[in-house]
Order: sequence, then structure tokens, then C-alpha cells
Amino acid sequence: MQNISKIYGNGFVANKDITFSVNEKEILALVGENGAGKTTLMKILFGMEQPQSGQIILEGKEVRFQNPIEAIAAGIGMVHQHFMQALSLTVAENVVLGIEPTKGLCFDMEKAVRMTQEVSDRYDLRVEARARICDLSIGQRQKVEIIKALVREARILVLDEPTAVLTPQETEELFEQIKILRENGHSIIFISHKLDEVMRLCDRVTVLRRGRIIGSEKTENLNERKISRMMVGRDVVTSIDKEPARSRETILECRDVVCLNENGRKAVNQISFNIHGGEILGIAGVEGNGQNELALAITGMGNYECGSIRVNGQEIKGRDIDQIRALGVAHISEDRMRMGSAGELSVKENLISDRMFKKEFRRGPFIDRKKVNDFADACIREYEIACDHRDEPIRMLSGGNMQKVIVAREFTSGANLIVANQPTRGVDIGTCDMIRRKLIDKTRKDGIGALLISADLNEVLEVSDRLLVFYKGKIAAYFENVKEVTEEELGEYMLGLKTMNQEQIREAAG
Amino acid sequence: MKKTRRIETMFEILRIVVAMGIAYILAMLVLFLISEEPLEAIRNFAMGPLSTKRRFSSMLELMIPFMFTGSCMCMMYSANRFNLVGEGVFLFSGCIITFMAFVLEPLGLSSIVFPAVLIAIGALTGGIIASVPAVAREKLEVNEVVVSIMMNYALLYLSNYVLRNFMLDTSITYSASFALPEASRLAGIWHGTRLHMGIFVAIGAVILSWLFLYHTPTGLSIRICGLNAEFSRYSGIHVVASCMIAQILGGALAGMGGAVQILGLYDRFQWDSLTQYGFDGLLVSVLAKRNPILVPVAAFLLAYLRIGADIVNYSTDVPAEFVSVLQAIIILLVAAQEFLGRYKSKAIFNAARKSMDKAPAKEAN
Repeated sequence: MQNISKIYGNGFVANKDITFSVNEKEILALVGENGAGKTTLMKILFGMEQPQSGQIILEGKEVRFQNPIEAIAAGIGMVHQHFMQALSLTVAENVVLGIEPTKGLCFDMEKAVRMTQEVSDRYDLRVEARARICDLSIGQRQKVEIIKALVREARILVLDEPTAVLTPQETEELFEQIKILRENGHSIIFISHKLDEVMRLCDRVTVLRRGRIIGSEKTENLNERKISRMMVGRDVVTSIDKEPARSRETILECRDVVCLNENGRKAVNQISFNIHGGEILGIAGVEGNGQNELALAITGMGNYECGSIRVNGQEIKGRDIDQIRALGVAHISEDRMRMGSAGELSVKENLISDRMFKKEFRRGPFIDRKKVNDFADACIREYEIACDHRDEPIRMLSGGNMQKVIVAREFTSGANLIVANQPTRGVDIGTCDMIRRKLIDKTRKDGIGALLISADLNEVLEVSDRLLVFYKGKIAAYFENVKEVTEEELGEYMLGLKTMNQEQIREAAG
Repeated sequence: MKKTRRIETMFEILRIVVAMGIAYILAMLVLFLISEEPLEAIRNFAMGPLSTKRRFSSMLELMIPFMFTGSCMCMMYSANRFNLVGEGVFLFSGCIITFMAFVLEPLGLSSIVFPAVLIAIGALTGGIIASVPAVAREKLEVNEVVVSIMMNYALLYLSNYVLRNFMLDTSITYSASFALPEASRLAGIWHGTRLHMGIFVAIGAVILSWLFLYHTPTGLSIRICGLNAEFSRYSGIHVVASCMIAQILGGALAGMGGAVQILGLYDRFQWDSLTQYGFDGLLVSVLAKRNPILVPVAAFLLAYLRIGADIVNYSTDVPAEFVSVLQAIIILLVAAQEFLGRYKSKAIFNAARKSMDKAPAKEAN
């Protein structure tokens, strides 16, 4: 792939002049933080997205894929993180879906089983072709995805974070099978954050950061530390001046919180910490290490199994979201389109979605239009929301302005705890800066506490006062003073190369 | 960006106009093909509903049930629930209020209070019935479409049962109830036609539905649930309660409709099959883009088509059924988001590029 650039409709630059290659019989690791552009790049390779510029050269010939069907025909296979399988059908039926062998007019089940079993045996994948998908483990279902690609004669196989859902044993097994694939002449692109796995399995490593290629090296010339530095290295940004936090009363108290993810595994494993008024506690970590589950638990969107979460002294377990909000929680969610707004509703209606029942916005049984309009106009002015009118549907706004609407709502809700989960993801620099400044302003002036979860190291290091690092659902490190942290150190904790001892971590609950 | 909104509104209107236009042209074509006297048929179809007082008034009459069931479906649709029980409710409410009219007759209520009480009973009946699929959906996660459609048939046969066993007038030659008490009936408002007070009740119901959905906090929370349930949960809205309220109120509207229809147009309850007004309500609400304030317009259009088709039916050799072809085309084209979609995105794209050329700095925001 040469000079690939992709700019999304909202102006977000996902890939910028990316050039990389994978050779025959090679396992290439593609590493980078979330949002670094790995997924976009692979979507372009697989024909799911069209690049604005650049070309793809496959075995010396330039190719252009309009859709995945063309990519598959050219010998590219992709195993997604989320499997696309029909649960009630057998393995063989899933494998041949779309390329069903026929006998006359009928589906030829025998042949489908033969095709599946043959591939499974050849690569030692050990999957029973007649088993139903719903009876298989996650690991085996992943094998089915691999067989699906191989039956379609894929020579380049893209595995998108394949080990994220696997147990260590399953991971070992998968690695053996990937190596067999390599012996058979396949090329594999292995996407992962897990550096130890990358070191063990891959021949070459390509690192992406912020949509650009940082480097491409043979694995033998690298070590985990070097890769981590390439991944998280910090760009120079204007630093934000802020006065030191003055700790006040405790606002949020988390004790031994355990949350399960949808697969029933512990996503958050016995975490304890406190947040005081007037400070920002940052949580750094590679995505998928439990930060999101924790944010959902605190805001009532998700559950927690055991432990306690207290907001302003009140346990939140068993309370509805409106009660939790009334206790003083505001929530800037990770996904502004799905959770943070309703695209068809106007800016105004999005601004009052959590408070239309409040007295101040009502006149008798009706919504007080004048008060709502005044409030909306004030928000639009104060948060510099670029929209034509308060009645414009929010979906017509750019990502950054949509985020400003959400931030405006959450910052004006009267809460004294703000849970900001990736508040600046995918928004332009100006908006990023504004949101960060507002967050600092709010804590310093109004004495509210904030929890800032971010995959952007710049952000956590600039904005937070104290910092936790999450790794595999546990606190890997705690820094009382963010100013003392270097990004190399942070990177090592984030990627699980180092962990602090319990004593140091326990201070977070102080 | 202001342009984007204008272009979208323009295309929204254009789409309806073009859809109607295409449907109309197709109808003309069909008329030319199947009729011996196509010009006469076309004239009747296009101008017929407006040509005489009687025809015009029957069009207004037909708008009344459409407005009720249309608002009913707007309510359901706003919460993103396809509870189709309005069909059965309309019929069953007509049956129940007839029965209740006989029960309440001895009280000697005045001709204003009596129908008002009966309409209220109709609304109550509708609300209670609609809550069955609503509870099934919100509490037990049973698909409301299936439950409500099955319930429509249960309601039909229940209503037949009530008619046969409790109020059948055996002294007449057809299957109908005893005559409704005179005081219970809605007064006519236009001499020489059958148009009745019910049209004001219908307009009132439409306005109240609109006020409720667009100007009260509960209405807004219903619309938020309908547009993005995850967002409504996040905002602290009780999704189950909001969707229940929407469906119960929708049922109440359909119930009022059934009551008004019987009290306004009939002297006896005589429905022995589903009236189809409930499904027509779905059509009306789609045309009205789930906003009750547009329901009268959509109801007018539908009534216009229907009466036109009726006139063609009895004045020429063309069967009335051809109008359903027309209806199908209109609904298809109005509901199809992507109809003219390519032209729309092109227009938006061009406008965006123009504004970008003019003020490149602004786009950065």
C-alpha cells in the first residue's frame, strides 16, 4: 500500500500518506494506539473504505477494491474482532455462506462439510464441520472465521486483535496455527496492542501513530520498550496553564469495584480510588482495559458485580440513571452518536434531554419554550457551537460541534462529578482545547471533581492532576503528581511491561 | 450549513410532491388502459370530490376517522413502536360504547354530556386494550407487531360476541344492535350532509396530540426514546414508562375515533369486520412524518383519493380498487428515504463546496 490517505466526511484525518508492505510467508504486526488508524487502513485494504489518494499494489499489479467481494476475490481475507456468524447454523454452513456448493438446485451439505474439513485438517485448525456455531467456544469460532477466509483462497490474512478474546492457551494454539499458515505461503497481518505477543510471533513490526507511519522494523532489531516508545511518543502541544488542585471533600468513592464485560469476564477487577472536589483524576490505558466498563458503572449505564461506588456519600447500586444524575453525576460518553445525542433532534432538544422535567424549564404541563430557547442560545454562545439555529437537527453539525453540545449539556447540569470518557475523540484541535480548558475551569472555579478517561496521552498528562494507569482491569500504576510522569514510563505501565506494587497503588484511595 | 437544512426541507416537500405526481400519472395511465371513457373517469377522479356539497362533505366525514387513527399511529410511531392495535381498538370501542349507551340511557344525560361520556369511555377502552401489547413489549420483550395484529382478530370476534349476545336487534333484517339513544348521538353540523360534531373532536384530538408530543416534557422524552433509546437511557429517561404512555395514549386516540365514528354516522352498531381505519392511520402517520400537526393534511389527501375513487367507481366502469395501487406508490415513495436521495446529497455536496470556496476558514470549525 502506497501513500494511502483517508479523510472522513467530518474532516477527521484517519490515514496520512501511509506506505507499508507485507511479503509472502511473513507475519507482519501492525501496532498502534486506538485511533492510530490501523482499522481504517485495513478497511481500505479490504475494500470497505475508499482512500482519497494512494494505491494498493498486489503482486506487482495495482488493484482497487470497491467492496469486500472484490478484495476477497483478489485473495485477501479478514478476521474481524466481532465475528460475523449465524449462530444456529453449522460450521460448514457458515463457512460456505455466499459460495454455497450446489447439487442440482439443492444445497450440497456433504460438499460443504468436505470443503470445511479439508481446510481445517490441512492447517490443523481442529474444528468440527458439523458442529453448530452456538456450541463452540470463542476460540473455535475464531477458527471458523479463519477457515472462512481460507476456503475463499485468501493469501493475505488480516487478523484484527485476534487474541483480545482468547485465553492464554487458546492464544498459544492460535499462534501455532498462524505459523503453519506462514509455512504454507500465506502472508499474515496481525493487529495487536500486546507487545509480548508481537515479539513472539511476528517477523516484522510496523508502527502507526495518529494516522502516520512511525517506523517499520524487523522484530529481531526491536524490543518491547522500543515499540512502546514508538507507539505512544508524544507530539509537542501547547501546554495548558492551570493552578494546582486544592483537594476538598471526597465526591466519588470506589471500593473494590468489579465489573463484568458481555462475555462474563472481569473487565474491572477490584479497583479502589477516590475523587475529591476541585481535582481531575485521569485514567490512562490502552482501550479495552476496563476503563469503559468503569465509566458505565459509575454513571449507571452499566452494572457492577461487587464493591461499592459512592457519589457524594450515597451508594449508587440499584438506582436509576435519573437518580444517579440527581446525585450529581454528569456523563460525557465515549460515543457521542450512539449514546450522547439523538441526531434527528434539534440542538435545543439535545441540550435539555436530561432536564426537561425540571421546574425551571416548565410552565404548567408544558415545556417553557422561552426559557429553553434562552438557555440554548446561552449554551451556543458560551460553548461556541457553530450551528445555524438552535432548532437545527444536531446530525447536521460537525463532530466537534456535536461534542460541544454534549459538553455544554453535561457541564450545565449542576452535577459535581463529571465522568468524561474520551471527551475529545475525533474532534478538531480547537474543540479539544476548549473542552480541556472548560474541564479545568469547572474543577478550579466550581470545585467539582472530574474523572477523565482518555486514550490520548497528551490529554491525560496535560489535564489531570492525579493519574491512574489501567492494565487488564487493574490499576497498574498510580501517580500522585502527573508532572513527574514521563511518557516512556507511562507507556510501559500501559502496555503491561511494568506494574507498581500494591502499596503504591493503594494511595489512590486516599 | 444553513443551506443543508434548507435543501433537506426542500427535498422533503419535493419528494412528497413528486411521489403524488408519479402516483397520479400512473393512475391516469391505468384509467386510460382499463376504461372505455377515460377522460370522464379522470375528470371524476380529480375533480369529483370537490364537485358537489355532498361529495365534499363525505370527504370531510372520512377525514374524521383518519385523523384519530393517524394521531394514534403518530403516538406509537414517535416512540418507535409499531403497535397496530388501533385497528381492533377502533372497532371494539365502537361496540363497547354502543353497549354502554344502552346501560347509561336510563340516566337521561343531555345530548352534550352523553356523547362526551361515551367518547371518554371509548378512550379508556382503547388505552386499556393498547396497554396489553405495550406491556408485552416493554416488560416481556414480545414483538408488539405480532401481539397487536393477533389482538385485532381477537377484538373483532369479541365484538361480534358482544353484539350477538347482548344487543342484537332481532326485529330488523340485518345484523345490528338496537338503535342508539337519540341523546347519545353527535349532532350534525352541516344541513343536508352527514357531517357531524365529531370533526371538532378530531381536530381537538390532533391538536392535543401535537401539544403533548412536541410541547410537554413527557412528549419530548417519548420522541427521544423513539429516536435513540440508548441516548434516552443515558439522559435518565424511563424508557419503559415513556413507551408505555405513548402506546396507551395512542390506543386512547383510536378508541375515541371508534366512538366518534359510531356516534356520528350510525344509528346502530353494525360492524362485523375490521374497519381498516387503523391501518389507514398508519398510512396517514407515515405521510405526516409522525407529527400530529400534519395529520389533517395527510388525512385530507387520503380522503380525497378515496372519495375520488368511489366516485369513479359508481359513475364509470372503473373499480374503486385501483386507488389502492395509487396509495401503495405514494407510501412507497414517501417512506423510501433514498428516493431522490442521490439528488439531495449532490445538492448538499455542491452547496458545501461552494461555501467552502467562499469561506475556507469557517469550515475548520
